[in-house]
Amino acid sequence: MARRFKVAVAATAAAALGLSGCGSPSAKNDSGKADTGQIQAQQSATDPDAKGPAPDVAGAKKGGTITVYAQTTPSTLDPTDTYYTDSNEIEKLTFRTPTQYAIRKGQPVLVPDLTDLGTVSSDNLTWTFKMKGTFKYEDGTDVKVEDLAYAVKRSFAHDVFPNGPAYQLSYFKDGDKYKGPYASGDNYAGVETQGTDTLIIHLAKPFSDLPFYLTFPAFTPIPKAKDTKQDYKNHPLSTGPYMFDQFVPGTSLTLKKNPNWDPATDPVRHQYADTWSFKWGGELVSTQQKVLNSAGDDANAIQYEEIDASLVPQLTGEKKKQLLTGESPCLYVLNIDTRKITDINVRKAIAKAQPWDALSKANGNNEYTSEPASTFLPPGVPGHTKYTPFPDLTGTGAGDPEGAKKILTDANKLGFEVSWYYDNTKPIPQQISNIRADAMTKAGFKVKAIGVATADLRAKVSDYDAPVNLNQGPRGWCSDWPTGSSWLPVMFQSKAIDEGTAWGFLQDKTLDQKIEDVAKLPTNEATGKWAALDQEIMGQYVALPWYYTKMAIVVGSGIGGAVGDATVGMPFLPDLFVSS
Amino acid sequence: MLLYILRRVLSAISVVIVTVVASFMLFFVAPTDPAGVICGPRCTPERLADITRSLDLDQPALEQIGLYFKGIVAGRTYTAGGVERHCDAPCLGYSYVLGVPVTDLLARAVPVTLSIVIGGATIYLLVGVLVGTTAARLRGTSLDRAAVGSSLVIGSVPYFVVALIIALYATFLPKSQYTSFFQNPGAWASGLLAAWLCLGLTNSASYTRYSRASMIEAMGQDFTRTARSKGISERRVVYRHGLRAAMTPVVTIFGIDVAYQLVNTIFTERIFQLPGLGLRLLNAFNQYDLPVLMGGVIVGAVVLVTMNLVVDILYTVLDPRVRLG
Repeated sequence: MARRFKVAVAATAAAALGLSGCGSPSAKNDSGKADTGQIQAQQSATDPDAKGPAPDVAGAKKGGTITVYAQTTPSTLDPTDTYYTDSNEIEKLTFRTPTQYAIRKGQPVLVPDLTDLGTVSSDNLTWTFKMKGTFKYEDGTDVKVEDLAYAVKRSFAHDVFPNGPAYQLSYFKDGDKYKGPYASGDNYAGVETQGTDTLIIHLAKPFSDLPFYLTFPAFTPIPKAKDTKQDYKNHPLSTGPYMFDQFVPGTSLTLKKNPNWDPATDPVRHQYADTWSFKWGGELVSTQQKVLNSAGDDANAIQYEEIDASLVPQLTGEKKKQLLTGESPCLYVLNIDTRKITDINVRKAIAKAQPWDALSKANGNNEYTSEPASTFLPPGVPGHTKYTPFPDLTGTGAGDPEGAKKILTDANKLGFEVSWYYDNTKPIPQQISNIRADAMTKAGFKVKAIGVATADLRAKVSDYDAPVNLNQGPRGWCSDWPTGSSWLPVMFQSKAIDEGTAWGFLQDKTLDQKIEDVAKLPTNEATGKWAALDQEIMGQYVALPWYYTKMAIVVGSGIGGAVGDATVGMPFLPDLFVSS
Repeated sequence: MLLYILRRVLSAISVVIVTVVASFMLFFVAPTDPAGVICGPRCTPERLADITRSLDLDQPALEQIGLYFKGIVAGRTYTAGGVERHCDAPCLGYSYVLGVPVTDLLARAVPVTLSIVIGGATIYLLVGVLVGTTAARLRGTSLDRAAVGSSLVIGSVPYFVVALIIALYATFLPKSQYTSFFQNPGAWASGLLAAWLCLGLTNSASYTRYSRASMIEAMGQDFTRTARSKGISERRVVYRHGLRAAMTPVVTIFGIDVAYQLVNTIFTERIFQLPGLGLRLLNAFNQYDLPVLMGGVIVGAVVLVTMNLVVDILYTVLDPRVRLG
């Protein structure tokens, strides 16, 4: 799952999640209107023929310094160790990867970057990627295909880079045995090169979304001779339009133009601003207020965290244009353990009892940052279809305790015990738990809400053998890439229980096979089939959808080209320019 | 005096050691989950184990404390995934979150905090003493009442409110940012001006009152009357004789205030976005970044005991009647 910044900025206390977002027509450079906007459904988009240079952004100007504020600090800018969405977006300015997303009319489109989109063998276990030309690092040296292979190997060193993405450990050949170049040496059967331009990846099992996965910074080329291991993060070699100038870990980063980046080879990025100045750690509301005020240099600034609810009333008149809204393929749910709540009528009663409106209010949801959910695939994910919602699965409503009580009575389950953990050190989770407990008690359930400290919550919620039956496991999810296979297989196949990602805790072999059959298909073929599965699983009431997240961030009045990046729920930095 | 200083230094070392051990134990006793925080919400058991191992969190608490102190004295070598990193003494470890040496993090943060506090302290001491002394000399006049009244008003407004107002609306002031003094003294001063004014203005209120009260008492003493009767000018009586005596309690409070501010500039740093010690420790606290917290505790403890010692010694300079021992 794409992970957002750590700690403080997590939007709610019901779950702490990563966010991704899609550009929407309400993006700043389109109408200039910051409306709340319904989330737009996306269709799958790949463009294997895309070539550089990237089309110019309307009205773009060169020059100036863009300042970027955030309260939460990216923990690392080592590409191998990058999984959080903030680092991921920042690194789009500095690192090119085999494939990448271009944002076209607000939608992410997978395009070739350093390599093509790849071809897969007939057994689906070998992918071949060809480099799309010649490229240079910031120091003028050539990017070699061996550097791409080395980056793949480096991504296995999880003892050294524990935060990086880990799909390769289970999908790539011998991924469970190889521990990276430092511990296991250079011989790794999962990756090879041929000639000067061919990268071949061998898999342990089919991975039809591999081209999407290769957009992660972990696969940016790294020359082995220049790999300084844990120190690499202090000045990683750039292949993108910008390079490190000054970096103070945990505090600030200044990027300057990379003279060896060739725009003619890059279908994604631009080099409009002269410099970028990232400043982390400042207080959230005051920095957002400064950006909204747009005095002096702050007119050319953005603050890429979700707008604080207290500032929303200021979004009138001209200031409306300073709110960049977009899509974010994340979903929050109320998870039900079907191993313990086996009767679907009980699950339906739980759904009927939920006072979603009150819960949303307590959670601080507002029209800019969230939208009630009724499907598992968020609208930001290609393949989403807004089918007719199942009863009480719309993420809205005051709840119907009497109706729920009737269901329980008819099923002879009045007084059924429901239990969950909540964070009893923070006001919002406490309030949400109290509202839910109150509603479910009125609905005839016996409620056991167990308060635990923040530091213990993760361990408790991750313990699938704990003596509770609601809200275990991930309380929300964001796709790591915009396809259905980043959702349904991850959450609903039986293996999800062992992998700690289960919604519903299903152990249905028939469903496993159905999901597997769709996941094996090429991405564009699979897109149309996910909705049917989504609907089938939803009808089992195994996880109750609450809300999709949306992106809503403030930009200075002098910033142009602002559009959302659906894949990470952030503004798409490579398109920004200083307009004044 | 030397023996006294030596005794105080030894005592200070023991205070620091006890503080560090207590904080370390508190970290393990309190519900913390640094590996879980770093791992994030989608945390598989394998990934959590990777992170736990990489941070040495799978070692017993006492062993971790032992390794920590050994690192301070003799340095330490960290091994993870076939990679060795050596941390020279005094090794305060590596940040769990940022993966960089704690010493480097603190070495970058401390000058920022020092700069904020020195500038702010200069302003509030000068302004407070000047206004307080003048108010004492003009006691009972409208100027005295105005000085006391305004110090009460300023002192009543919460510090963070003043800081936010200045940060958000005093846009005529230079933008807050930190530049090293050695890199560009002008940029250093202009980037800190807003923070200095905020700190100086709010704290000058209390120093106005301290100085005024202390001066009034000093000016009523026999030695002041004697000085006047000897024909010494009023200016000399006030500033040469009276002020020196009046400053003793002010200096004591000043020393303690500076020590306190050196480890408590969180609001200022957060609101003005100055990457000092307070902000670094606040982030470390939120992220259960134990090595940074421990490093901060050591710095804080050393600063406080040092400032206490400095104040005691300064006392003897200001007041010859005071003897240490």
